[in-house]
Amino acid sequence: MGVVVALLGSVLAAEPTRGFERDGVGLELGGFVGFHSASGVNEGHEPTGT
Amino acid sequence: MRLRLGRHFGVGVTYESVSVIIGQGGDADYLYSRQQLGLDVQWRFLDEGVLRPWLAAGMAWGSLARNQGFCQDCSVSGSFVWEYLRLQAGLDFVFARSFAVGPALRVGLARWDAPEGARTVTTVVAGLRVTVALP
Repeated sequence: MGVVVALLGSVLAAEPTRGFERDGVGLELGGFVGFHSASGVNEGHEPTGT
Repeated sequence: MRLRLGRHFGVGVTYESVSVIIGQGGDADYLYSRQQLGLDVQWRFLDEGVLRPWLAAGMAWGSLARNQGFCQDCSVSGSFVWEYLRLQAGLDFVFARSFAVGPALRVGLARWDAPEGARTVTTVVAGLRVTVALP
């Protein structure tokens, strides 16, 4: 994973573009991984008894 | 996917999918499944340097399902959820002009049409975001 990210970074660094610093209109693609916590979903539906 | 308008402002469309069993192996376990399509606006405070903080605000729409084995009446497919307030903050580490990675935190308030009636769901998401700027 780390190697892939590093390689991708190297390839993009070599591009003759200005990336995020480019003026005008641009397009970005991305992804997100992480932890997701939600409250209010199951309240009132816990099992009763033992 | 994000449309960048200038160096600071952007409009983004996101899709997210979460499906996980919540609980500790007992009868209270339930399957939490949520898929949403989101729309937000983002502001980057800096347009140079390695560290670039940003804020975003938006909304999301989708479906949320809570399937519980112990509750015969509650086993349902996803019903509509509207995240009417979604605030995000993050810090991009821009290692190259077109590549950024960094932590992000999101909190949201949603209205979910649960089987027993509408209820408010609070969501907190924390993780790592990777962004590539296309030429």
